[in-house]
Amino acid sequence: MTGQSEPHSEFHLDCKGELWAIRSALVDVEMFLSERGVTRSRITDLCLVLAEAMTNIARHAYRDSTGDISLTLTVQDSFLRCELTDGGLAFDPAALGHNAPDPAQFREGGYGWFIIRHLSEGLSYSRKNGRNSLSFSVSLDPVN
Amino acid sequence: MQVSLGRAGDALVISVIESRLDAAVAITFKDIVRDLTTTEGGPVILDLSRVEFLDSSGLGAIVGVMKLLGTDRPLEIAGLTPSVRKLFRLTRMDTVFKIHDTVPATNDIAAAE
Repeated sequence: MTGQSEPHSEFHLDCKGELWAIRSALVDVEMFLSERGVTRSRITDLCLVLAEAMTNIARHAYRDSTGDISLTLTVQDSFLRCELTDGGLAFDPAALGHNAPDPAQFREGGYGWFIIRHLSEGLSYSRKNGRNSLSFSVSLDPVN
Repeated sequence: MQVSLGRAGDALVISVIESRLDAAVAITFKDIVRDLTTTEGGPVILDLSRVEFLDSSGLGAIVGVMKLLGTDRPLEIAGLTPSVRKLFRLTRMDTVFKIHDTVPATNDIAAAE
């Protein structure tokens, strides 16, 4: 071991489970990743997955209440690991979003979980101490 | 949420003057476009050239606008940035909307907020 590898860099934020707060959080995530040299297309993918997952939290997990969303991003050599937690209602992601809606049906919703599944890897969900925890990874483009 | 209006031939061009068309503004966007398209006929071209971030709520609002306009006033899309194009491809919405590579030149009419 030479000890030359870059230390992992971590980003954490808490925001209200509300749509404008989510937008503002995603702008902060974009800035953090951009400063670390993550490519535009990877930032877009990650922010899209986060937008879909966080919007679901605001609309569904917190549909009867309000609360926070906690986001932790860990940048590793070849991927980004993300964890989102919230204190809203439990759900079952295994039942959701395995297929994209038929475009010819012109549906106004039902794309979120399909997008999350399509653009992320290693998606896992758990319920601990009354909080939902959703984790996933997004691969990073190789750096020359 | 801000849009501007222009004319290109018989088409009404609605330009989104926002970098994000997302869940926070999706309903407002749909309401604004509905209010702007109550009287005139002809196709409507939605100019997304300034939009760098579109999520499924924004996409759903675009689909909603298309349905509000009905079959007599087709909704077409112009000026997709790379990230917006990616979501259209992923959801295969690029197969059901007419997509213009460039935004047609327009005579400005007005801006709405």
